[in-house]
Amino acid sequence: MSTGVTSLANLAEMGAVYPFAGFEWLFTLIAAAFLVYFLVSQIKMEQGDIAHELEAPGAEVALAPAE
Amino acid sequence: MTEQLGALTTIFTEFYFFLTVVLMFFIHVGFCMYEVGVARTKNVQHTLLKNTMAIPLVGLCFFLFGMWIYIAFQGWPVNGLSLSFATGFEPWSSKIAPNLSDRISGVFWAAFALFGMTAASIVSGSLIERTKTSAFFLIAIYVGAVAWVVPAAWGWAGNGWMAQYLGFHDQYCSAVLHSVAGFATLGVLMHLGPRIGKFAPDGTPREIPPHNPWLVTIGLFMIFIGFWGFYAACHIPIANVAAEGATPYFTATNIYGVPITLSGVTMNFLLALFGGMVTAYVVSKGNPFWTYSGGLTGLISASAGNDLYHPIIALVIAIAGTVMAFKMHYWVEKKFKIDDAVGAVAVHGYCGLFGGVVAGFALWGYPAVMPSAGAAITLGEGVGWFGANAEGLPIVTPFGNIIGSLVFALGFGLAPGWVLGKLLKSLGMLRVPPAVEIHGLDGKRIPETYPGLSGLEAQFETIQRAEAKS
Repeated sequence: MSTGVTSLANLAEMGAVYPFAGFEWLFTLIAAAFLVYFLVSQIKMEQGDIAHELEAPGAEVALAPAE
Repeated sequence: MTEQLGALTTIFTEFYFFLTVVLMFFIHVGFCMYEVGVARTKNVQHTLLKNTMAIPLVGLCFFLFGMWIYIAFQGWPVNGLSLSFATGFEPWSSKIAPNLSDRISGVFWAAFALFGMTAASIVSGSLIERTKTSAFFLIAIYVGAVAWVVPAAWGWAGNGWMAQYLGFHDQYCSAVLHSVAGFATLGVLMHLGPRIGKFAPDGTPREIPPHNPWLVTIGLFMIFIGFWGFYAACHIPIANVAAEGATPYFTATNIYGVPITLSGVTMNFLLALFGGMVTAYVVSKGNPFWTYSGGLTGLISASAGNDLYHPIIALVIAIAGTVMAFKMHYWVEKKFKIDDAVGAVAVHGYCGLFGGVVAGFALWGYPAVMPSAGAAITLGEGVGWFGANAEGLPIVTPFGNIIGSLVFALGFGLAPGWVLGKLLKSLGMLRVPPAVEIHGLDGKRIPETYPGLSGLEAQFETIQRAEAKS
């Protein structure tokens, strides 16, 4: 990791101070991919959950009487 | 940041918006508590996570495109048809990251992102106990990162074309955000349908009791707290609004660059809250849910002009809006069989539209926009289609506010909400199957909600005691 910043001598001239400045397009792609991944995962997960519920509603619910 | 006054103004503004973001998070704490309280025990975790996940989801979309829409669309399509990709709020901008040459963009972005999350959360509660999570997420992205953002660009920015040409005024987003989210909810509800058992065979609506009414009321109280942050984030906290070369005039301004006082806003906020709560208490005959919701109906009804009203005007508007919302909620429910689980359509939709329209009458003639370098607002050519003052500034009129409010509520709320609901329904993505609804959306996780009551805790106790003996 490198910010490219090694001196704080001229603060008034400083701008971006984060690592890999100049690669913002790549950061954008990472964020977009993360969002798409989440949405696709969510849709798949929900389809699976609903199918499971329809096959055996509450099958894994195992209750013991309260003491 | 070498000049003292400029530095102080910048750092104060940076810190001010930072605090508004913190305060606005209470809206989400409140929405979560509120909706969880309304849900039945078998749907608690689904309700909680559905609402909670709107926060990061809308936030990510706001990072990717929401804030860009707000800046890029301010003049479109009246001032020009081109859209800038150099607004400073594109996701690849270096300004919304640690950057010693820009101390405002990030906190400003965050305040707007929280507005967007609030818009999505407004939809959330109405759909509980039968909506698929994925469907809600897609609706949340539309409402939170697109639907209210274009209206905000047009009518909730000093440089927005509706603010300048129509004299549209909606300082705390009655129409811009609340009506859009509320009416989008109504559009979706038309396709979603009521929860099983909500209506008797003869069409009479039944009350579905909340599993925890105290969470409902405390959640609404939390939303009141968050609303202070919401209000605060709608200001420019300090700006020199004097013309170049004139004696400096430092003031807080509304979103349109017009001087206001936080003192007056505080009075109006509270009187609107008081008016709404008292009225709801009376018309609902002491119903706690409606009494707390009345705080919101009062606030949202008065919000469009709460920067400039007299506190008693805010009170009267809050009273009128609350009576209207209460009556409309039950009339629509009975007439059209709309099952709005938390009353969001009435509280946000009807009151938001009402507030936007009323502000046009109450503030008729007041300058809608004040250009200044301090507030970064410049006037376009030929502004003030419905009237301008002697200095050439556009003025607030009923015509501008009626047009704007209707376009937002119907054009960005109801119609797209209806289309989105229709689309999701036709793809089988909108509603869970009846068997799942009956069993509960938490499915196998139902016993985890209250382990002490479900027997899960007792199960472990048994194991623990057995192992302690061995």
